[in-house]
Amino acid sequence: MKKITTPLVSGVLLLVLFGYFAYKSLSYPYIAFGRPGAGFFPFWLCIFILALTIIYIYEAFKEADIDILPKGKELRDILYVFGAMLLFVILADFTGFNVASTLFLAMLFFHGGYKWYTSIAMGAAISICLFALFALTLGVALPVNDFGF
Amino acid sequence: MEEAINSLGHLMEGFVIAGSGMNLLFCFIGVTIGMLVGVLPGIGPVAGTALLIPITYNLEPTTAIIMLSGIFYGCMYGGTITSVLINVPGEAASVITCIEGNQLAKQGRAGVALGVAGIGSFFGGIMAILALIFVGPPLARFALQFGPPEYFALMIFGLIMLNALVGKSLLKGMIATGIGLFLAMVGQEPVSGVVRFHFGFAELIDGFDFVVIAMGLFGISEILGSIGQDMSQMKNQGKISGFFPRREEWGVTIKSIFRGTGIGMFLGLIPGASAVIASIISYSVEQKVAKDPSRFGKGAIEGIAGPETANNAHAGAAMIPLFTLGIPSSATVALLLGAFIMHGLTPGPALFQKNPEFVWGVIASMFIGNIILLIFNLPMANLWAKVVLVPYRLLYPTILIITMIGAYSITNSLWDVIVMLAFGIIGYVMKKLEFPLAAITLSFVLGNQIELTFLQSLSASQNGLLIFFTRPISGIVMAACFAMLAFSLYTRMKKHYYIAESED
Repeated sequence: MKKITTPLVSGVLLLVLFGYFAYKSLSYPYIAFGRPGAGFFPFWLCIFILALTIIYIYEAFKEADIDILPKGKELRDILYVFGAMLLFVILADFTGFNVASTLFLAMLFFHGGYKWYTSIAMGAAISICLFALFALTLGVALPVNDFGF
Repeated sequence: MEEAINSLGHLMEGFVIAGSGMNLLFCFIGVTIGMLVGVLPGIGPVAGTALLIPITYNLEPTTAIIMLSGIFYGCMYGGTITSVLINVPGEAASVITCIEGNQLAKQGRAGVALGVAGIGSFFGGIMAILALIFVGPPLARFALQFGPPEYFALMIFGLIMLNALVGKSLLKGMIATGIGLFLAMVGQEPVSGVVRFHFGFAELIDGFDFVVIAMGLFGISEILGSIGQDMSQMKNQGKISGFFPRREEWGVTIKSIFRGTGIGMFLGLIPGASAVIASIISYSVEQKVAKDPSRFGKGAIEGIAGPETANNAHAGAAMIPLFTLGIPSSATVALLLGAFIMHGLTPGPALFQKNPEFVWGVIASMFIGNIILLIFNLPMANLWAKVVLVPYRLLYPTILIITMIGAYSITNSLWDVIVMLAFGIIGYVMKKLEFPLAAITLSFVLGNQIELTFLQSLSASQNGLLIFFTRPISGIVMAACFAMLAFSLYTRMKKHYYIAESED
């Protein structure tokens, strides 16, 4: 039996996804007032993508596997960075930009090999500078906490 | 002749606009940021430009576009420095410069490499701007004859060119294009107002924001991809001095600069043909015409002069289809198109008539920007070299937080940050699977226009899809599309056949 390769899995996922979108397109008007409606173009676009995906899946059977998933340290690094970004998103509205950003930067600097106090100091300094630049100078309404920062 | 004089008159007015305090300041800021983006590996021109777009919301449209354009061609200059000094291309179009530039640096001639690249880039950039001045208005007038079928055909041509010329797989390129077009369908349909594919999320009623997608696909995915790599291989190449080639090298250098200008300008006019292609073709041409091709790969000066000139000439010439037809030639130019629309400007043939002060102001600022960059590139090369030495572990967290600020500032909502992170993961996976991300971005930006012109054409047509082939201009363009597709398929099948034969 042929090995299940990453391109094959991605092809099947695309097939399922765009098959669903093609079905969903039919819930919008196909023809409206004698002209192509809102569902016309997306439906045929999805059919086009499905046709290409079928060829892609066929090609995937002949191709060698592509190693897309990072492993070991690389995977841990990526998960750590992504986790830090998610933490920022979760905290920003509650703690305000400065605290969330300081924590985010400190985590990444610490992960990069700096001491914890250096990481916090650098994180705080950069956060304050960015807040001053974006919020105070450029007028970007960054999230703030109850204390106003 | 009269037209040329009119254009020069408009250009003088443009200099008055571009030379005003705010516009000059933001031109300077734009080219500086562009140089920085070009110099720093880990953030490319697409992500760099996308990052700055939200910040331009409060600026006047002319000022905003002046700054963003500065970033665009500034990147081309900046990418050269890392290519020469540390053999890492700061951006994709500088890949070729690594081959010869770094070799020259190892021979103690980094200054010559940077100098030749700087002079060539300046010349190519200025020539392209002159082409914009003299070709732009007549082309815009010609384009006023275009209707929906012509625009549709041109946009499809641009997408096919991009897939045919860039990327390893035409199939993956077409799938990526389809995905980008589909993403543009999310949200309210412009004609009927029907909200499509929002799956209950109110935030998706207006669809995805192109800046968020670009920052995620290019910025976040690029950084995620480089986290595990050792970016600390920067070696100090020593003090840079002596920016000019030897006397016996001037002849060869000047000829390659002229050739690079022609190649870059021609390809810049073609929607879909990016700066990377311009520099690759220029390098190939230089190898073919060289008296001693064996010098290539060992520090051949024309191997830098030609490609660097080509990629900057391309950057200037790419503004021509953008301004006159509203069709971008690459992902970065697509972002400029998005910025135009965001500031209430519709790029296209009417832009020269309706907003001449904007058009000529931006064109004049490109002259000024190229002069600023020449000054930056040469005497300040040592300073830029030091920027390159900033440890990546210090740099990438700062870039990430700035990226998240940029995404947040679009609608002051963390929703856009979440969407950007999601596209970051999608971009990372698609890169690993070798799907071209530029195809997604370009097709996304053009998606609504493609759908609108397609539906308008069908509505007006008595013969269904034949309208695209029966009108002369769209017929020629569609024929070119099929020819390009057929040629691309043929060359790829031939390549597969030869590989299969050699393996037997």
